[in-house]
Amino acid sequence: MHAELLTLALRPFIDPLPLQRHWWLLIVPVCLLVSIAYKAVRVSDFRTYWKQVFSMTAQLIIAIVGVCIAAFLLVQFIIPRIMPIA
Amino acid sequence: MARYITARAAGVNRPPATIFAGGVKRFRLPRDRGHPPANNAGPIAPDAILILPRRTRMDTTHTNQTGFDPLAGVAAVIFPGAGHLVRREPRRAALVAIGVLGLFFGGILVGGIDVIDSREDRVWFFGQALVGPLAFGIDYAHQHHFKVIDLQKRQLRTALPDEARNPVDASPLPIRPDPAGVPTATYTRDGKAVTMAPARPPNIKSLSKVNELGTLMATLAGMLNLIIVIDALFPTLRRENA
Repeated sequence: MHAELLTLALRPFIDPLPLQRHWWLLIVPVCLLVSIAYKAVRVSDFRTYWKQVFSMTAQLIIAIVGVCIAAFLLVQFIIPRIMPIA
Repeated sequence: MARYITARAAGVNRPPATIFAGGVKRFRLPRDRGHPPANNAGPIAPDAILILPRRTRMDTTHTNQTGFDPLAGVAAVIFPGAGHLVRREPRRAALVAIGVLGLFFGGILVGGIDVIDSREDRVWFFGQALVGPLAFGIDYAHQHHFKVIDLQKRQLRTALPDEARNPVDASPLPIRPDPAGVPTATYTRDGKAVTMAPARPPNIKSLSKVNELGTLMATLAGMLNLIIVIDALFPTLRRENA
């Protein structure tokens, strides 16, 4: 690529955001937006809507982090014990 | 025949649908639209105490309509949240639109317009298409205003990082720096050479995690919109206090 192209401004919605190192932070807005849309059609009483949205967001984040930890332990510790690499 | 409605003498002519919610006696009215119950039509005794439902925030958003609502379903397919707007649930409609459109445009913001691609990512586009005509419009713009036509294969493809798009025939143009170092691309229009400076690719293809997350966000928006269309189409399927 020409070096000059690198200095051209980012065009939002056309070019990707430079999030190659911090992509994992997107878990928060993704879970929040999923909860907002899902709870909007599930709750019957909107007085508890935001409480349920933040509760679901927290549950999603905790579940994803839990799955991440479980996968890490499986790959790094459990599988090497079952099938040691010679 | 006069119907007496009173809370002082409990049990006297109590309407069949009387409920006691939150310690306050009130009637559950059909559709929560603020109209008196149909079975209480007729003259009311002068000394009767008519307890009307409290006007709460819930009344503007909660409906007990039953059955099949095809108009709301069609509206929900056309635009996220429009189905609930047709059903006179503006708050629910606004929250649905924020959630679905936030995910959809959030995905495009993260991964660029490259994440909506019915040719190169067809399977993902099946999910994204559930957002409605919006997804098809953005895909059309991506295919016809951002991609270039490969001269050898005669197929649409994303421009390479050192290619610009010829606005006349959508062919790829090589980008070369001029003596001052500015990237330029030259094409011909009506027999005259036209130079674009600075020239750049019409869009940059997203890669790796950024592309995956952008595509996933836009697809999640479509899958959520399917739930929302079903909710607008069959409102009685909604579970209470889910």
